[in-house]
Amino acid sequence: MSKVSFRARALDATRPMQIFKADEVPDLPDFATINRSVPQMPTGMEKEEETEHHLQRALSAQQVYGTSEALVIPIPEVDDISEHYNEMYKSDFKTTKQFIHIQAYGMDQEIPDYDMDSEDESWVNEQKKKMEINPLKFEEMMDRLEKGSGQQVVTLQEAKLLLKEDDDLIIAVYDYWLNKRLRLEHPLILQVKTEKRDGSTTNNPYVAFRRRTEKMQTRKNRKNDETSYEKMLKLRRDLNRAVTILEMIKRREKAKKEMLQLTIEIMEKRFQGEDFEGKMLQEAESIRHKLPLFVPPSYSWGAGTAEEGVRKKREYRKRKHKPVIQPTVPSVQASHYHDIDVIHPEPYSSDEDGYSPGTSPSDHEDENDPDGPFAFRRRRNCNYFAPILNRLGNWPWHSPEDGGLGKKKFRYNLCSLSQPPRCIGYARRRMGRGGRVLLDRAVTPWDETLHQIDMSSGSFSGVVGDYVTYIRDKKIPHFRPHSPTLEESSSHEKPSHTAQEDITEFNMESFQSHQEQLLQMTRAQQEQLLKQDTSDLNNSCNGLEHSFSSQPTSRFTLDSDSAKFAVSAVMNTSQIQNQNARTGAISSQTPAAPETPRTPQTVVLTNTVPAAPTTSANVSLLSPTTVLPPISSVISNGPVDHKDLVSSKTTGLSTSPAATVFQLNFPLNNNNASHNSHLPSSSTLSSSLSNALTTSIPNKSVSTVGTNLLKFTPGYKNSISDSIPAQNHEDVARLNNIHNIKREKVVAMDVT
Amino acid sequence: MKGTDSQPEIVEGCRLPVLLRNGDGWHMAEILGKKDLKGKNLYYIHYEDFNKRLDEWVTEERMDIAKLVQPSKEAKTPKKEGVKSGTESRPSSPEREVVSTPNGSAAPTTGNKKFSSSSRKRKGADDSENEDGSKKPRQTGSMVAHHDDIVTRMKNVEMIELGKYRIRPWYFSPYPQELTSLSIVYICEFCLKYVKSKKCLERHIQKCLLRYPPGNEIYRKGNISFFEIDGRKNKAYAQNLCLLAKLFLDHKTLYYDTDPFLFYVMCEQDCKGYHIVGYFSKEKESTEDYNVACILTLPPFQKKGFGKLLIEFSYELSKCEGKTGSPEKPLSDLGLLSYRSYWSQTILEILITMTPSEGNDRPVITINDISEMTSIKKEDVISTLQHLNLINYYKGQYIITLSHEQIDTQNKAMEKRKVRIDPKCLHWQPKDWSKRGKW
Repeated sequence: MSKVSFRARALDATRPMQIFKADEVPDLPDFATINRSVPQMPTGMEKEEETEHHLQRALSAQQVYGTSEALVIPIPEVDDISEHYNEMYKSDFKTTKQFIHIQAYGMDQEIPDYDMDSEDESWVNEQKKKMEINPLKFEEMMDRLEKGSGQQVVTLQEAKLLLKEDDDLIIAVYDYWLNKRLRLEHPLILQVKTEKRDGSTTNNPYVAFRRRTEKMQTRKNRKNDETSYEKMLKLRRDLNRAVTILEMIKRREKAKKEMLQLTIEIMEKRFQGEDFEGKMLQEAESIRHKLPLFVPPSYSWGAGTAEEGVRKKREYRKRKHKPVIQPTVPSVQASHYHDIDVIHPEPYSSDEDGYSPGTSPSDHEDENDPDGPFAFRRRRNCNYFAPILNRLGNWPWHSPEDGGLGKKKFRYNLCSLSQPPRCIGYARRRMGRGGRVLLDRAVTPWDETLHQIDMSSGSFSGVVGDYVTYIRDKKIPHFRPHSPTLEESSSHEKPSHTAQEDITEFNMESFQSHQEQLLQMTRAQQEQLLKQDTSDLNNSCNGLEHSFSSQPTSRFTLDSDSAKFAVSAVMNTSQIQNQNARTGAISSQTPAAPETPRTPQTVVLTNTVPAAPTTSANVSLLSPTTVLPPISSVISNGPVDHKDLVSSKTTGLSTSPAATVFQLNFPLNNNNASHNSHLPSSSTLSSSLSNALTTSIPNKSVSTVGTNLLKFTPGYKNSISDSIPAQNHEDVARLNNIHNIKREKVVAMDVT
Repeated sequence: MKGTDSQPEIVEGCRLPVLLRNGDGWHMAEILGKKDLKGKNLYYIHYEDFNKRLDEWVTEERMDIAKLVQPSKEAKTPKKEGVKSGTESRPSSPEREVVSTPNGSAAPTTGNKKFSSSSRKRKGADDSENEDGSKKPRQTGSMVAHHDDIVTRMKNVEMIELGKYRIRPWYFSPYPQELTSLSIVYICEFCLKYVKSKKCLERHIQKCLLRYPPGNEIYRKGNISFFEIDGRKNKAYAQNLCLLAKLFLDHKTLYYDTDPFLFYVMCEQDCKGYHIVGYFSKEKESTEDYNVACILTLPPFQKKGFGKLLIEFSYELSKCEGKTGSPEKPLSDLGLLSYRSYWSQTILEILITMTPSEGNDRPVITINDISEMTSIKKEDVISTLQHLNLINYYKGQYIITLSHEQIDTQNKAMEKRKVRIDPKCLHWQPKDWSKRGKW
């Protein structure tokens, strides 16, 4: 028989196998060699232990003799100490007939964990003579002291609170315990080390029974958690309601009591004043009605009762804060409820079952009142819409593309202040919250010059004079706020504005390389500067007239930190964008304001701000230099819409320097403005930029972009943030100006 | 020892012959530790090829310092590693058999590769070792592969007193470190609380009300009872039990809490109460069909058949659950012997008593049948049949052959197994722990 060619079938667990006695198959040895094909199963032991001498010996014994009894694996010895044992453990145990059944948690034994040692025993025996102490009592006290000490050992004072014994005994045991502990330098009740949170115990072999952090949870359980969470929310709400009701009852009862006392007091006073006719009472009543009230009139509890007498002011005041509900005066009652409603809005506003459990957590968070009196509270019968995150609101100064109304009166024009009389450059006016007038300022390279102009006065010499002449010749619209009349629009140009949203990414390398480029550019362009000024102005003025920027609609809040950050971020991004534009890689971008404000409004910021009036069409037609996203508006904090202005104020005012305050009150690009006035290089640069712009004039849309270009120029200044401190005092000055404006309640502007 | 210049320095890693305790002569041992006790040097030594449980502190008198072998620089670490990676002979590993192909030259190398890769895989699976170094054991199961850190490699408790026995521990256990300096740690026989002195134990016994494990009795026959303890509900007891068991179980891990385990404690009852004899733990939900996590007969009760009783009980529970099961790996040497013995006897018992069914002249059985009848996992059935050399390939099919010697030994062995688990005495309903959400 050819054994080699023979191949056995694999062992099949489902295949029946016949059972033979060995002598029933005498020819079995012929087949024995094939047995190898039966797969060997692993022993399941660690490999290095499998080879151990005693095991191998036992295994072979088992195989040979069927048992390993002859060759056992040796183990360390065990000693029998029965005598001692019998003394120690009592032999009185009798088992039950029933199986022993233990209630879970039913083992709450009040036995102390501390076990007295022989040292303790001799001490306790010693003390027994003087004090009332027994071993169990001693152990209980030690137990409490030991368990009362966590990281820090309990003090005697704490010990006295822990142990309800005589002071003498406490002091004795405490001293003994303290000494023992100090001597042994470890806890007296020994416990297995458990893990510490800091992870330092991961590899300590003496730390055991760690908690399993990742619970093996299934989806099912998670769902369970959710429902139970909702239930808990509901329960909490219900309990809160119960608490409120109880509080109100308490108030009511207090008020009742107080009323009773006051009635008695009044009676006594009237009696003392011998007011038996009720005259004094009437007098008091009339005084009361003259008093101005800031809380809805309290109640006239005495109205129904004839014997009411003098009512004193003091009493009255006291009571009006603690209104009494009196069923006989329904109208008054209503006002009470109203009062309570204000103080406890919760049971009335948030307990209707209509609101989903999903919203409740935030509602409950409101209870903590992080915003204090400024917290947003929902009104009844009011519909609230979700904020529009991906586009701008329908503000009149937004372009229709952005969902706004595109009112022409919101373009940028030359603008002067009457106090102090000077031109502030290009600005536009909006109505803010509560009739406030907001002036959104645009930045132009001519700001420096324009700021010196006082259109109301006569003649100027030099460059300034040229400007004035030019403005007058060309009849460039110029406004000056004069009186608080209603806003009126002036010239009506067709607004042309477009929006584009893109995303830019900023990195440090491009920023630095760009700085170098900038330096070169500045030098090269400085020469062309002066003579082109006027023509530039012309063009860009047109641009301003035509421009209808949607950019200042940034809606975001700034606290001082994020404001600073935004400034730097914008500066950087703008420079890169600039570079991009130069290299022809045209992309107008979102300032990816990284990690700026924490509020959700950040999102709004990044999304809406870049809505620059640079369409792709414009971009493609213009020379690359003109494509400058209007990021400066971010710095300026732009014209802020109402709500955001409020929040800006609340967050910014307290901490931020004058600059921020200024920004908040007067949402203008103060940074830009100051740069222009202080940094000739930037203005010259921008002039030359606009020069470049003029060269590409043929297209009309140039003018649209002009504004943005101009506004953007501060981006060329490398270190806006550096210059900020220097500007602060000037900002303050400007701030004062603005206050002046406000004081004048200037609303309208007129053309000079 | 007199010649000071010839006496080399005895340091950790040195190897030398040490006189065995039982007078069996000298055996090569490695020095793992050194301490000074009353001016006398004591050395912690590990006997080569012996289980760690025999490691001990010895004095210089028992050491043949003349034959001291200094640790060679390379050999020191690879020694352990080499053992670990399993390059030494492994008689019953499957790889070895698979590798034995006629293709001679390639076989050894592939064989070695297979060894190392498989061992690594296994280690990874056991320890769930993260690459970032923060090594945490897996969260299921109760056993752990070797991680020879010098602290856990050495026994830390010299002696325990439990009930009427003083027992020398076999392995490290994370009892509070303060206790390890004591010559004896006293343990309450009923609640398993550890205390530092006899006086403390006396005091404790006066207060301790327990006379049996704090769980439900689920089995009682004669004086043998089983108690079921929930590791989540009875944390204190479960932890004390684990600490005690760790003294005798090398691979047991106490890294995590006891929540996902049930503990079945076997007790012998007398007039003093229910004395713990042994126990096994079991995962409430096992992902790998384990019906036992850790299993231990306390040393005083070993070699008396209690281990087999514990194993039998564990399979009885599996029968109630209608599942097959297997003990969690790795098995210890004693675990392997006990399980093999139990499997052999259980399977042989079935095979011997099989009678031919109608229409057949011979009794017929499948491996699955055996597995179902015994709740022993199929793989364990196969390995047992194979280990007993019962499966033979005969005329195109597998048959089971029983030799007369085997039958004789089996009959003798069964005669000795007087105490058996009686399924009628088990009062137990399996719980579906997966429905509870938490353990």
